Amino acid sequence: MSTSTFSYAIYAVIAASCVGWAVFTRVERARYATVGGIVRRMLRHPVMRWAVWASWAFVGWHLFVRGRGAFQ
Amino acid sequence: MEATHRAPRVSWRVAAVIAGALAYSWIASGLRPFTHPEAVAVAIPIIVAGIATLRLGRHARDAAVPESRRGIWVWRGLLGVFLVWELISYRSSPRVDYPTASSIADAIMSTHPGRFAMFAVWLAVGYGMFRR
Repeated sequence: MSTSTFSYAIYAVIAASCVGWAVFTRVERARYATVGGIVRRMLRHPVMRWAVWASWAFVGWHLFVRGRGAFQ
Repeated sequence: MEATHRAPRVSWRVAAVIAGALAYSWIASGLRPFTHPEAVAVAIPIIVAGIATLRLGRHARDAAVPESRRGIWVWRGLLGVFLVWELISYRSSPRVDYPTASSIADAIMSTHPGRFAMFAVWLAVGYGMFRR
């Protein structure tokens, strides 16, 4: 297995784990913290609320304004 | 007497918002990075979300509903694994062998449909978080 294949496989495993756990917690939302529940909890905190906003803004700015992946 | 149950329908307002967001995403994703038009197109949703965040502060006390904390350690673990791997990849080279999340995103965004999909997802995530 090449290094790049291994690297992509790690990302794929992390992404699949996130999706799998998100689906599981959604089904069992009465007992487990869902993504939505965690975000709601963070948005109730005055500092974390702005941290969430800044993180989302950073991702958008980094990817679309400063990203190098635009089609030619 | 006939049953009066009706299937829930998507309102015109919701449909118009979704259509508007998709159209905005298509236009914004067609602009080139490192240009003023793209900066403005990304800044507008960020400013709107900032205003929504300000308004969230006023209503936050009313919306306090207890929610389960069980399983949060799993989310923390997944985030930790992602951050560690991202850092290892970022510090390694060449990038083709050690892709980062940004370089993977750049590859996806090398076409207009891919860039549109990424922009629409980013906008939808922001809407989902700050609409309350």
